[in-house]
Amino acid sequence: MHRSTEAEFHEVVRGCCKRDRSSQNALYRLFYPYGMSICIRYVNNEADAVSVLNEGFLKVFRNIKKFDAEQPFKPWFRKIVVNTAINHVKKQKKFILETTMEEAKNIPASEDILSRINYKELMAMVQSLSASYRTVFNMYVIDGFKHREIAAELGITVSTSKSNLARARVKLQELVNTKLSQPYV
Amino acid sequence: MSDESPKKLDNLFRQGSERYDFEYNAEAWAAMETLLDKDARRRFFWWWLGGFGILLLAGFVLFLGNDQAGSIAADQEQDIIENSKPNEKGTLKTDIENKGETYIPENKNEIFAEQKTNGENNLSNKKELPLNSNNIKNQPQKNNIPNGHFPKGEKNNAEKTTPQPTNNTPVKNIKKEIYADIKTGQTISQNNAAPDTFSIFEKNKTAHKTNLNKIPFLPLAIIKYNPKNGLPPYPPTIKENANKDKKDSPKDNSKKQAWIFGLTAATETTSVGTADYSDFSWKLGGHIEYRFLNKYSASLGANYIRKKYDVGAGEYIPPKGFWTNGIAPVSTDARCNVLELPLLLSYYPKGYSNPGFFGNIGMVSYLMLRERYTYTYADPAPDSIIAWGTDNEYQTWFGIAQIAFGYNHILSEKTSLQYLPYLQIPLAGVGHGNVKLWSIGMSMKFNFKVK
Repeated sequence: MHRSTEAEFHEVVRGCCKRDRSSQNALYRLFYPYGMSICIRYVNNEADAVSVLNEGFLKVFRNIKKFDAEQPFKPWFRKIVVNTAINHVKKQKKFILETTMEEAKNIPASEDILSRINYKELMAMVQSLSASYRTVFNMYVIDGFKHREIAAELGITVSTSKSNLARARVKLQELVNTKLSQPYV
Repeated sequence: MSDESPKKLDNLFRQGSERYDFEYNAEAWAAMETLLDKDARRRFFWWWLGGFGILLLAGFVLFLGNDQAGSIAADQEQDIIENSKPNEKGTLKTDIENKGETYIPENKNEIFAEQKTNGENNLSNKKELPLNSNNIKNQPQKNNIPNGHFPKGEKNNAEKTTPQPTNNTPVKNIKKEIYADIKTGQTISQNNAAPDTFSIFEKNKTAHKTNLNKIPFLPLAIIKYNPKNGLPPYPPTIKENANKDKKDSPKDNSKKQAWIFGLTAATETTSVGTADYSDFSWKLGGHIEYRFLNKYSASLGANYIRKKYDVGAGEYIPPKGFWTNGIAPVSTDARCNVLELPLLLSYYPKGYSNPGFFGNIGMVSYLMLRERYTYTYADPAPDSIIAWGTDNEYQTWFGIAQIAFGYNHILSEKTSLQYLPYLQIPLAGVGHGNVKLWSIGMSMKFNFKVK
């Protein structure tokens, strides 16, 4: 972040501390795309993602005074939004699913795939997973949780977490392969 | 399974997740603003409730403190009256009870015998009085102060220094002299008293100072000098004072009753449920109040307010068959003009004539003068009712409980200003939708004593 931009950002945060609506709007504008990219992975439609994101932003606005201005904002924001999304999914209570681990098949390099599959399609694949697979996959692969943490967070066993991840990978690989097998349009 | 395959897959989705391309959504921000507004109202409500709770707690503590102090004062007063009555031997109970603390007579009979000898003592007969210097000379003197006379330079010191109840102090002797005064009921002036009697007066003062530390309260006598009749009797007997108090008491009671006329202005917010407070409304009205027993009052008021509130799905319950095809709206916007009639009982721990905290509790009736509702449906049918209104159709008698705690600010003998945060709790539904309305507000009352 450039110095001028950084100063402006701190001004926005100060405004949010004073519950200034225009500052809140500015922060919302700034982090809406990023927040949505997180939320959309955990729910299966955009309306729910907006609802989860707004809930996350509400927590951000309520606790903005606790934010250390010396630290980067993005990880702090991400943590709040991810936790909000996980809490939202937890309410669904769809995690207890023991499955045997299945092996994933070889797939081409990601850059090759990304040249043929756009981000929205990838996210659509993730959204198509069941809640239990999707949540574990997101937490482990994208948001960097350990299986132990996932198990503790979702109230499942570590083996369930691992098996759900494996199942999610298999499912996603199938979807990617299907997509790649389709002719270019 | 290749070890690299899962990693490749993970990287694919990790990279994909970073390439977000969502654009700012104005509708999402509108929803966010609604959330923020609701949060602000919820925060306000909890702050208000917290403040109200603190005030209530402070009032309760004040009430307890006042009640305890009042009972202690009453007990002390009663004790003093009881102890001030001379017994058959002419000795005050207080003195006997306190003898272990301030006065320890070596020989109690000596005192009574002396008083008996003096009989119905009259100070005019100075020879027989123990106040007489000759009599005092006969008392055991354990200090170096000559009877009836202070050595030069010691007189003031004697007044300033509080004598300790030790064997070296003349407290015992001085106490006897005080008894003589009370017993005879006579007064002594500086002019009339013999020179040595005046000196004893000075000593009596010292003794009084000593005893003041032990006696919390003594009834004060008002002595009026009449040159024709000479000096008035001193002190007026306790019995006379008691009678005087009794004569005055009915007059005091009449002062403790009053009729008050008051004007009320308040700002209030209303919610269906406890946390969805909408806009503030103004409330204006008046009340009459009857105050009694110094600390209590009963009041009846009439306030006009235009309430504005939002009703959520399922909270608006109209008469059966009102909704077209049974489809209820998801939200209702309500605008109602209400005449509310509060009937309240107030308690002033410090008395309503004094500034201080006070509280009231009571029931409120709502007379719905005008009701206007606008309904919003998730999936409106063509013939769904969009809006509905009625005038003077619904009344809720004593369906709302009100609790308030505030401060009574005295402006003058006849006027006062009261600041009163209040909470209204629904016990029954109100209006056409039979909604449970919670209200919180802050009222200011100007009171004028009319009688």
